[in-house]
Amino acid sequence: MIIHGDKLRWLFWLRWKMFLRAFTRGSGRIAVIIGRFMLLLFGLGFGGTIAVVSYLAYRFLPPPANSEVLFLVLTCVYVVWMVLPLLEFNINEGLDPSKLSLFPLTRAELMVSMLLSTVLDLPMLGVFLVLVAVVAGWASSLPLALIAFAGALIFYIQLVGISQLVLALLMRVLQSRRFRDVMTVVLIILLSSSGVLWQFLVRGLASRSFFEGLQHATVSSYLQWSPPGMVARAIQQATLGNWGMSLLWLGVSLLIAVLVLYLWQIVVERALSAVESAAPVRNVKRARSRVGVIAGVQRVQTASPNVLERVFPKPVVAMLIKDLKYFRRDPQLQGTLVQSVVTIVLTGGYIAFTSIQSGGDARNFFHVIGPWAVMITPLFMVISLYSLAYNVLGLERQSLTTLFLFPVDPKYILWAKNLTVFVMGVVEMTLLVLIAAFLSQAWEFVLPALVIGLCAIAVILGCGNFTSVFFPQRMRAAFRGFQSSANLSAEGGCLRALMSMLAFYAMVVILAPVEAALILPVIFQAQWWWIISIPLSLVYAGAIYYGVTALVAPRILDKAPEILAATTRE
Amino acid sequence: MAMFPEQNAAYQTDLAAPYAAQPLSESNASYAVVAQDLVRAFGQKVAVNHLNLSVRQGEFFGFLGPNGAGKSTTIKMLVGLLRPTAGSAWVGGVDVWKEPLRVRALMGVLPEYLNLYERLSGREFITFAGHMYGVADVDVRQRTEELLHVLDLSNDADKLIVDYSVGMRKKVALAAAILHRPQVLFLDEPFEGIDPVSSRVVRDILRELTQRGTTIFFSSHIMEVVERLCTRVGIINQGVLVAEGTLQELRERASGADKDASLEDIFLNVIGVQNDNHNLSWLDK
Repeated sequence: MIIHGDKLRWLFWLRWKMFLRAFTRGSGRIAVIIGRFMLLLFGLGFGGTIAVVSYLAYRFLPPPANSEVLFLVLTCVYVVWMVLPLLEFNINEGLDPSKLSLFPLTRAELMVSMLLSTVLDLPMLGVFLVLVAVVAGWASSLPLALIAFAGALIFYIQLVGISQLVLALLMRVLQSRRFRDVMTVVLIILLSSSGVLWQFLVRGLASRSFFEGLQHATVSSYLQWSPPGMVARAIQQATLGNWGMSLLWLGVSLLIAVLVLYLWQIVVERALSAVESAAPVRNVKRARSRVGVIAGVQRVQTASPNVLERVFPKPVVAMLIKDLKYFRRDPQLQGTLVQSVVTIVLTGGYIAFTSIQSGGDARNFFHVIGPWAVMITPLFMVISLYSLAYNVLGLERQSLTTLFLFPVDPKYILWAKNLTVFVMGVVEMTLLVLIAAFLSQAWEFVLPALVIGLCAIAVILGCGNFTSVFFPQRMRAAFRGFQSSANLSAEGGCLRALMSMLAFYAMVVILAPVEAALILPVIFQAQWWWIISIPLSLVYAGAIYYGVTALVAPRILDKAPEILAATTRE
Repeated sequence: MAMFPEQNAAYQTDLAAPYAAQPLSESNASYAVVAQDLVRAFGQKVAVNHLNLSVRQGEFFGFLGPNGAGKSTTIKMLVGLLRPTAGSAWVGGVDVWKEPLRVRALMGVLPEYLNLYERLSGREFITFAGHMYGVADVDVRQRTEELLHVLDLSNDADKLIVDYSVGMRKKVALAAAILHRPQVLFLDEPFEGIDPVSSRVVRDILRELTQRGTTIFFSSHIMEVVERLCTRVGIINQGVLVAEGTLQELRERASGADKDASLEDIFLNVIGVQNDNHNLSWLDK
């Protein structure tokens, strides 16, 4: 094992530079710095909270509950660190062996430098706090402090090793576009529903059964056979004075750490030399694609003009088909669409769950909220649909340049974009309204709710066309991992965000008559008003849509370079 | 040592002032591309400085310049993607900024950054482009299949563009740009990332297009290709058009005695690159 200290020093210097540059370089420098700083605060805050809470638990909970907490904390950190790379697998440049493989570095130098580089990872700072709490919480004497420190160190090495091993083993899968696409959608949904999920978790942790489980040491008997459990067991045995057992558990943990590092190194070396073996896969793909070509030609040859082409101009239909394909294939758009449904379902589910848990009867609950659930669902849904409508040009992202090169009447562009959102909205709204009606058995409200929902979509599309042309925003491209973002996450700057927010409130005000047309007759128990209010609402929505679209469409041509400058980046 | 010492000084002085293109004796309608006093400034930096040029119909015009000279900025202004700070541009006799839709119908563009619809397959994208240009369905289908075949994309036609290599993307973008038989074709670095076989195919297609009347406005770093294809060449440096003419004219102007100077020699001479000593001293140790 040859390790040149000089090389290690320079490798650490490299990682340090990259760490600093992450704060100081890149486009949108201020935003990057603020983002990194917030991440730092979040990491420290989150890790710090866990550290403080777990420290207090180690110190003040009676045994065996305190050691049970240790088992849980270490196992949770371990599992999260194994799963995180699957979600956030942007390779830490300091841990990317492919970039270092060109240089004459020994295996030992490579592994040690990669281990050291993790010290400069922002999320790792949170883990350090948790480990400091472990040492501080259990160090009631010098020998115990040494055991706790050794345990924490071994745990750290295992943690880095296992997460990188998982990453290296699954790299091919992780790099596949399909996997990334799926993960982007999953993450958008997870992030958007994290509030509710978090509440469920807190409720679970605060329950009596959880504390009883800790007091009866139910989890440690299972977790002790896992690598983090072995470290926890070593510390716990030391506190009981079983030094031999403690050292034994620690020795096994050390062996596992060495094994993990060895496997990581083997897998990394194989991965670096496996690039050449891609040929057979390519042949298979080619063979498959030939079948696809034949099928494609047949499809093309049998295509015939459809109803849409008779109703709308050809460019509108072409763009509509393109956009619908995009909603099926683009994870960012898929995520946004699913998010709008998930948000409503989760919110409704949470309200129902909370009401029922606090003593309400399920049937009673749905009976009471019945009519309102059906009527409000389309309005909620339509407002969440606004995320797809307020920046339709920006949603094209870089491809907007290509779109603007085509000789297409700008109103056709808006029509096509609006039709896409309309189709999505109608399908989504119909499903949700039917579900709400099924749960509440308020079927008589379905038709008015759907018609008013259509009016609301028209109003939103009109308002969205206005903001799309006058306040276009650059959409963040679909990143991997936790940088995945739904289309709500734009990069248009504070002013544009502010203007969009104002436009949103304006849209809510413009939408008010439509809402009133549906809700007022129910409040005054004069549902016959709908005979007048719903047609009026239709006229109002149509006028808003047509008027705004006719007003803003010509501006697309006039402002094309400015819209491109705001929405694309080269 | 400078390749053309006696001419260098003259061209260096030219850099200070905009190149005086030949005055337009005919109306703009008889030219495929006309740029008149085009200026584009980004803050303090003037990327394109009073650029005047005209390209006749059916010409294969090569637009050369070092990195950052203003080639792509000029092309973007000519195709209507970037608003000039001052000046005007006409394509096919139509004012780019007054009648943008008419101009877009006349031209095809292969931009430097290919902002394609990555979640469409190659076939879908070309078909989509055909419909956007208003080509009849039957023609779209036929031309798409032919283009895919000629550009050797048939086997990958149903793969999503996101999975394509750079060269394949270029070919798909080119196919989409020429499917409607444009009067004027703007190509920004079309041969970058394309393999030699495809490069040959693309060259043949471009030649055929010019033979049938299409004007090609073409920027590239690959001098051999420009030399082989272009009927006229314009050289831009630091936002200023410093030379324009046929290869023969440029040779005569730039080299004087050296009638066999290559385009690379002319280019380096025109932009004023000194042939300094580039030896690495430590290699001898």
